[in-house]
Parts: sequence; C-alpha cells; structure tokens
Amino acid sequence: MKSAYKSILWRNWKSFRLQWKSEIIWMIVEPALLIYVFGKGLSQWTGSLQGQDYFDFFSASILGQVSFIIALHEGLYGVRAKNVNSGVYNFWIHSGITAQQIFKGEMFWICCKAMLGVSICLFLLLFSQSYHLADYLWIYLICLLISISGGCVGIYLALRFKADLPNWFSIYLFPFLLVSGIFIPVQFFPLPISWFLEILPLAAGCDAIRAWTKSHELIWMIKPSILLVTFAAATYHFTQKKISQL
Amino acid sequence: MKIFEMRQFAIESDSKQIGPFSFEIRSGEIFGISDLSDVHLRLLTKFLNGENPVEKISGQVFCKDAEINPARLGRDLRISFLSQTVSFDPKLTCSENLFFQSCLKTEQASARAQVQEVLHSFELYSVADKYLQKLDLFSQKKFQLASAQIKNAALIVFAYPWTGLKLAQQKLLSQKIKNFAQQKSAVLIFSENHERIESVCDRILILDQGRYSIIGEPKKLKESSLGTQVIEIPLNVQEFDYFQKRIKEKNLKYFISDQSLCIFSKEGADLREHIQSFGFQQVTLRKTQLFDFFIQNKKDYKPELELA
Repeated sequence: MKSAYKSILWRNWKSFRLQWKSEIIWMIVEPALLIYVFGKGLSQWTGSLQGQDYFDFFSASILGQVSFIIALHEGLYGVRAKNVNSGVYNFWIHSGITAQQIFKGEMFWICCKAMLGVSICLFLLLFSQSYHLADYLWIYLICLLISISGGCVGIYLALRFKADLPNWFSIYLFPFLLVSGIFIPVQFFPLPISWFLEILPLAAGCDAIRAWTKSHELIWMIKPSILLVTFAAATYHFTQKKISQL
Repeated sequence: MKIFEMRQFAIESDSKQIGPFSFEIRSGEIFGISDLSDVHLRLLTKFLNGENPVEKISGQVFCKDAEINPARLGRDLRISFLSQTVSFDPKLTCSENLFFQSCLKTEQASARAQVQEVLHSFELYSVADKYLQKLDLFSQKKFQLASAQIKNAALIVFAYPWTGLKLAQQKLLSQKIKNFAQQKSAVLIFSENHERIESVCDRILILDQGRYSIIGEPKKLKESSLGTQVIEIPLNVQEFDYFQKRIKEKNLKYFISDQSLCIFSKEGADLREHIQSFGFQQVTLRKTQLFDFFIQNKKDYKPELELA
C-alpha cells in the first residue's frame, strides 16, 4: 500500500514546514558552529591525527554526527509526540494504516530528513573540502546506514520509555558523542573500552567515511562498514518488532 | 442484511461486570446502548476502543460474518469508531485531515473531489482551512462523521455523540446520523442521553449497572412494560407511605422523581378513576419517556431516603 507511505511522508513534510524554524538548529546552525569552532578552530592548534589533517578528520565526524542526531531526535521526540502527546498514530491506525506501515513510513521520513541535513552539511563543507562524485556516493550511503541506526534507536526508546527517558535523554547525548569518535579517535581510549566503542554506530560510520576519504582503499572500510550494517539491521529488526505493540 | 453482532458478550474489569448480552445490527439500522450508570457505559466504550485493557472477556463479536477482536474494534477497517475525544492530526487542518484519510483509499485527484463533496455535505466548508483543535465541539463531531464517511466503514460506532452539545446542535447531529444510516451503513450509539437516544435509535439495549436489562424498539419497550402515560403527583414523606400501600394494592407501576410520585398508566385505562380513587387534588399528565424506564428499573432505589 504505497499510498500509506506517501501520506505519511506528505503529513510529515507539512508538519516540518510548520516548525522549520526550530528544525534548522539541528540542520544548519549546530553543524555550522561545530565546523567553524571545532573544525576550523581546533585544526590550527592540532597536528595530523591518524595521518589526517584534523579538519579532514572532523569533517567526516560532523557528517556522521548530523545524520545520527537528526535521525535520533526525529525518532525519539517526533515519534513520542505523535504517539503519546497528540495521538497521531491513533488517528493513522483508525484511518487504516498498520503499525508496520507506520514504522516504514516514519523510517523513510527520518532518512529523508537526515539526508537533507547531510546535504546541507556537505554544502557548508564545500568551501573547504573537495570531494569527488564517488566520495559523495559513499558518504550518502554510510550516512543513510547511520540514520537508519539512529532512527531505529530513537523509535525504540520512544516506544520503550514513553514518559521518562526522552525528557532527560539530552544529558546522555553529549557523553555519547565524546566516546563515539567525533572529536578524537576511539582508539585513544584504553584497549578493552576502545573495542567496545568501535561497535557504536556513529563511531563505525565515521570510521567508514574517514577510511574512504583518507585512503580510498577498500580494506580499511570493510570492518567499520560491516559493524555499521550489522548494527543498522539489528536495530531495524528489534524496532520493527517493538512497533507491532502500537 | 446483518452487519454487526455481539454474542453473549461480557467483560469484567476493576470488579465491575458488564453483560452478558447479545444483539445484532442490520443494514441501515441505528442501534443504541444506554445505562443508568455512566461508569459502566464509559468502561465499555473505552474497552471497545482499545483504551482500557480488561481482566476478563467472554463472548464473540462479528462484523459482516467475520469474527473480530472486540478489544480492537476501532482498528478494524470495516468499523469506524468515533470516540468522545476526537481522533485527528493536530498539525493538519480540517480538510487536510480528510484528504490524508481519503488518499489512503483513492488517487489524489479523486481524493480531493471526495473531500470537497464531504465538506459540502457536512457543512464544514467554512472551517475547512482551520485546525480542528480550534473548532467548536459541534464542528468536531461533524468532522468525525465526515471522516467516517470517507473511511466508508460498514458500521459506525459513535460514543457519546451529543455530550457537550446544545439542544439545537444535538438535533442537527441526530439528523446527520439518521442520514448517514440511511445512505451508508449501520450505526451503533453509546449514550447517556436517554431522550436523544430514544428519538434517534431504531432499537436500544438498556443496561442496568452494566447488567443486561432489556432490548427492543424504544416505543414498544415503553408501551409494553410501562404504559403510554405517566401521572405525576407532588407528595411529601408522610403522604408517601399511605399512597405506596394503596398503589401496591392496585398493582400499579410507579417510581419517585424530584419529590413526586409517578404512576404509569396504559392507554385506554381510566385515568380519571385512578386519580379520583386516590383523592389527588393536583396531578400532571405526560407521555412516558425512556428515562422513566431507567428510574423504574433501578433495583436499589430508596424512595424514602430520596424524599427525605
């Protein structure tokens, strides 16, 4: 039933247009500030990191971070608002849309929104980075996988913790970014911890983007890509099961 | 044609029991369920809409001869459950909400045409571009009916349709419900508004504190079990004991309402003889209402306490 997905996409786009002023904070303002302050600013005092200029290192991080944060926020707060606060899912279900269609429709919207954020970020990076067409394709593919992971985690948390968690979830977010290899490589952490951190979707995604943009060698991309695909598939599977409770 | 059926349906929750009762709704029929106790009726509607889980459920529910899960009545595509709290998307306007629903059924162009037609028939054209949460309750109820028309359901379950509406609006909404039943499908109404349910419904099921009481056409129910007329006599506590004895001797049905004694009288009965034999000075005669049936049927009614 394609019309269900189209209707969900149409509805979310309408809602996005109503509240675009608050949405651009995540899409434009925050990435622009991060690129300028941490990327441009810190690269003047830091040397190369893992054989890369710090700005190049951070550019890959910001692309992964934007897709993950947008997807996570839309999954967590967007789904909670629609499910608990305004009863939109109830309306959809009464209109004949199934829980599975809601999940797939929402995931499609989350990915579209995350890709829009990535595009804006790539546009901001145009002034200082030169990517080739193959780079763009790889970046979009990895960011898509990151946004699937982020969106699924967000939806799962929104359904699992209907009231409490989303209110103070932001407190966990910054430490999560610190340990996900956004600002420094996860290999900086002691060995057993760094092994665990490499599994995180954002860390694996950023590694995969960096591996391509740094060396263009397939061998370095295999491990993070496999980790990311596994994580995305697993979260997708579990969230799909969870949403059937709707 | 049989649209909907409940067979020996009963639920138990929070030590409240509702049912068992059985009934069926035919095509074009408006069926009402009412109870003297609003608590039981609300519990039943909430359960059927999937809002309240219950401890125990028995019996079967069918829609167009296919068995359905009674706890997910509102989610069945053949049924449109219109609950008291209007279910809609607050980010979309009235016409957009209808368009969203219509798009799920048809192509965009025909969906637009359908929305225009429905907006016109339910007189929602003037509020089409407004957000539903900003509309008055009457318009919201009309929107519910409009969305049910778009859904094209076989049965519409309308919980508390007249609650919060003015009398004139209640009448207009009743007319819309009647038109709906004639054109499209069957309607099941849950309401505590006895007067309105009596005038709108073809048949009713009356519950007494959740227990099955009686089922039938409102007019026939009143006439067969109570009579066509009610004699209202204003009394005080001392007089009541005297008259109660005499009423029981004559084997008449009666109840107490607003510090007056109400005696049921069948058509053709000699009213003058009744009134004269009791020696009443001042009486009021009126037609029997469904509300009288509820009061009369109330098992734990304490007239002495009520009068005191």
